[in-house]
Amino acid sequence: MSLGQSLGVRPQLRMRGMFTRELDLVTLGATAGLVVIGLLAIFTSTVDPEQGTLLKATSALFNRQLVFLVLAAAVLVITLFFDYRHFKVYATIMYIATVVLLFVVLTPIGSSAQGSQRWISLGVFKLQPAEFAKPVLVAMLAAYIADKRGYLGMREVIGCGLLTAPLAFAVFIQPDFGTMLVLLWILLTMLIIGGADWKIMATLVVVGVVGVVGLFQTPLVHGYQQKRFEAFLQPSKDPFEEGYNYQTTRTAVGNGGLLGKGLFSRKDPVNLTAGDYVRNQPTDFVFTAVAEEMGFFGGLTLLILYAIVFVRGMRAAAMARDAFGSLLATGLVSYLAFQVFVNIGMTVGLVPITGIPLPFISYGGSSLVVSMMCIGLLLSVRMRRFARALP
Amino acid sequence: MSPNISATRIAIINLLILSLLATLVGRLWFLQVLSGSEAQKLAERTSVRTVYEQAPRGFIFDRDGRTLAQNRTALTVALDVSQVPNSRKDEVIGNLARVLSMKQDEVRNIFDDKRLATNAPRPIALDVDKNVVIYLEEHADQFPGVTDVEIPVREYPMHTLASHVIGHIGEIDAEQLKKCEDASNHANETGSVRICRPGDLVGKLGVEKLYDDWIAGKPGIKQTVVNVNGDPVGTPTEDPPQRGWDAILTLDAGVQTAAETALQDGINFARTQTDRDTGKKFNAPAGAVVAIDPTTGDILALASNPNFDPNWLVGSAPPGALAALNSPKANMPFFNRAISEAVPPGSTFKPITATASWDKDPNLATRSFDCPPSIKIGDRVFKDWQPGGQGTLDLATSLAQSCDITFYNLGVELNNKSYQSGEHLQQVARSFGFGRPTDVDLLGEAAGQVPDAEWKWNHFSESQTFDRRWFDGDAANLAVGQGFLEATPLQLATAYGAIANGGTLMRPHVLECLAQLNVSQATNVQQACKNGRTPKTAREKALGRVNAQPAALQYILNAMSGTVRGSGTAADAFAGFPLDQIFVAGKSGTAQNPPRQDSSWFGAIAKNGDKQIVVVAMVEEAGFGAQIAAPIVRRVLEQYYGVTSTGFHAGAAIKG
Repeated sequence: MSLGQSLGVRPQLRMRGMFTRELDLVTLGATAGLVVIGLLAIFTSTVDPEQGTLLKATSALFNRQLVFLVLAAAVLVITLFFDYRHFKVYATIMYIATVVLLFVVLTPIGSSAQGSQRWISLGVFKLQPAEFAKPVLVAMLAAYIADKRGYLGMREVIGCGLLTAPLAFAVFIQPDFGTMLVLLWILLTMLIIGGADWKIMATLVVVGVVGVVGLFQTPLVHGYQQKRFEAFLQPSKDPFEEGYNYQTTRTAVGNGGLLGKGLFSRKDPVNLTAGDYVRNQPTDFVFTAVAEEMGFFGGLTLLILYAIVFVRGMRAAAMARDAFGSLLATGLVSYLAFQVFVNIGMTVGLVPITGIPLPFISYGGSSLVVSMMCIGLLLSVRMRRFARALP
Repeated sequence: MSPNISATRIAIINLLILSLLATLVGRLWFLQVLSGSEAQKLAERTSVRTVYEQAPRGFIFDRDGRTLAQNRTALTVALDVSQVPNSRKDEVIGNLARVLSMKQDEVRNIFDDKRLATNAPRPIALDVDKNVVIYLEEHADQFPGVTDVEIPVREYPMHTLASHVIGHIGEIDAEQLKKCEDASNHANETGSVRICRPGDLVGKLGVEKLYDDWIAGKPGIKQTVVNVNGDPVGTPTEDPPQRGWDAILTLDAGVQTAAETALQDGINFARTQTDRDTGKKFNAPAGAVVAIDPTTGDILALASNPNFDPNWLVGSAPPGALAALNSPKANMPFFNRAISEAVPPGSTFKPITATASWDKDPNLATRSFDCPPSIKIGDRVFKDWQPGGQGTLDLATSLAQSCDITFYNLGVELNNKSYQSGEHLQQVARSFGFGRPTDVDLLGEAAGQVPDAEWKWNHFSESQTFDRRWFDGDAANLAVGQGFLEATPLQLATAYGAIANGGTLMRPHVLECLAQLNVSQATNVQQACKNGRTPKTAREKALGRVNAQPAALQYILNAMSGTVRGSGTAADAFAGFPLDQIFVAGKSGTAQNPPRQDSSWFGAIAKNGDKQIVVVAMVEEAGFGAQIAAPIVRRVLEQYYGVTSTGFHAGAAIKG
């Protein structure tokens, strides 16, 4: 297959035209904005405020995230050039590979942190397969549903469930309850878009909720997860362990007020971000840095940028030339949006704490690369809406 | 668009996603804007370490600048518990207990005291030896979080002197703390806002308590923003402590010392005497002396025996110290008898009866009175203190020799409903300040009691056997200061003050002014007070005019001077006193207060030009006023006028 073929356009001239006319600069711009906010948040939450001038101040985590960003940007560009429709073919292979990796994580090869076994060490950095499981499930379900021609009966719905089950089970026993919820959410939205019968959907939601609640009654759920849930319901009961996170993150967010405490804690010393009071701030609770130092307007800006990316992504889904493209775009957008909701939601005390990163913002290579890959795919779907059929 | 994908369903997902984002925006608006200020306070509490530095209390001086309360610095070992890792807690407690010679539990209690700030050093031991501090510094690795600081500690250099007036300090209690916190938003009369914290040492009694807002000063506040490890971030803000106002009292330490010494001597002497009524020695458990300047209400001396040394109560008072001071076995040393004990004043009340009768009978001064051994009022026999009676007397002699019969008769006359509803004596007594607090600037003052028909009827409403009606006998008893009449020594002194100054009831007070001297010795008190402040409670103030004719007051004052000379009851007690140079008028009292033994009372008004003083002494269960209380008063007058004294000499055992 030539490059021209793989791009799904006639070689040379068509390709240049497609990039100039169809590349969605709005999505790219909003993504760039998110990435910049993310870098600022990571820098301010890791830099030592006592360290001389800002230009001289350093943050190892920030530097690593810059490296990840270069890598993620490269992945975005590669994804862009690559015709998304090929993913339909490769989806099965990626799916199997991901399932294998997820189970490898659980073996002694995987490494653990904070009681969860989630990473595979690759020397310089650690790979988090659960991050890849999410877009892979989107692609897999999109590929499966695309062939069903717009109607999903009970049999197809069960088929989708069976495809989701191995991934969901693997992340659940890591344990990574949050990612499991994201996978179930992906299943749900994919079934809606895929045309599943509403009655079946309703049944499925009831079964799902009962199942998740039931899980909490079994010894399969770890003690710390139950504690987190209790802490969510009553933060003041346990002010030192899980309750501390709810208390501190909400305080830090509220402390930002309308205008924020100023970036890098230079304006007001009463700043929980600067004092390192927020645990896991660059990763799970990175939003506190945005909210405290940039205030309500900073958080609002962030959410508007997300809204732009998601609305444009859904438009790509609506415009897509084929069902696979629509399904893929919808799945990716809904998965990213759900992560945004759960991550910020746990920071502001709306949902229980789970270890789900904030797309584009949280420190972490896997998350950033996957998020940028999603943007690449969304751009790819939109860009190729008038493309020729694949041979 | 692919025909297999429903546009409606895409729109639904789109809407769902946007509503999730909108939910977050709403939540942020609530957290950051609507309840942002709460979070900001919480963030400040979390990240700002506030260290308070105790302010030195203002000193307390007498009217001539003699120091009654001061501060010294105590070398103190303190511990910042936030610097002690949990794993080393027991080790540090053990080490500290060993080095400071304390019990481990004592150290642990301070360590675990939840009321103290967790990130500021808390004192463990006061007055630590310098060598111990050197040891602690050399072995710093064994004592994480341990520091030594010099903190001001209250000291009362005159020990027991005027302890009931000065009071003492002690750890703030829940009630005081709440009162302070409730007032934390507005300035008090000192013009600033009082800052209190648990563990503060505050005034608990006397001037130390009443003027605590002034004397306490303002603690220094050092605020440092710290990170989660407690390391400081940025530069701290510092507000240095402000020393409190110095209290300059109206007390004269010399007069006070004379009063206390004479009171103790009188009590000691009384205990050697046998009570003729009971056949036992007098108990003389307690007594009080009050000396005031009748023109201003300045209290020159206020003594209550037994007393206490406020130094015992500073810092960590020995366990049980407070309980012992309130214990009846020790005769309750905390109880300020000069203002809190209302008992029948006995014959010292007779001058009040005389002024009341003056109004009813304009010819009172020229009347003559029979003073037989006894008279019958109703069906009761009332005896004179002199078993043989005292013949025929005028009013002045009746006062000087304290003829009871004269005053029984005057009391019965005044009880006639046709004159002022028979309540004139009560009205006059109330105008002299009896039956209500004098409003002195000391806490715990008793109101006393002026009985009348209505009071008796209500008071005995529960009683089945007692006749509740008001009889002539009740009036007779009241006229000689007995029965249901109750007064404090301070009330009597205030009333005598009105006789001395021509009829103005001056509010007594112990505080002259509050000033900021910043020296250990107030050499020029007058100057200091000129720049100082006098709070409302201490200002010179007339409580009112007494209900008495000036001529009556003048007559009675002169009549009372007969008490200390010639045939007067206290002539013996004042033998040798330079009465030709110093005018002294007095009245003795031997007050019955069954089932207890008689109390000894004496009140005196002395004048030498403008230098005036009223002195009242009262000794419980000590017998005759002329024998015990009069010589105590004499001793105080000698000190005040610089008369050479030969110490306490008991007067003649005369009961009147």
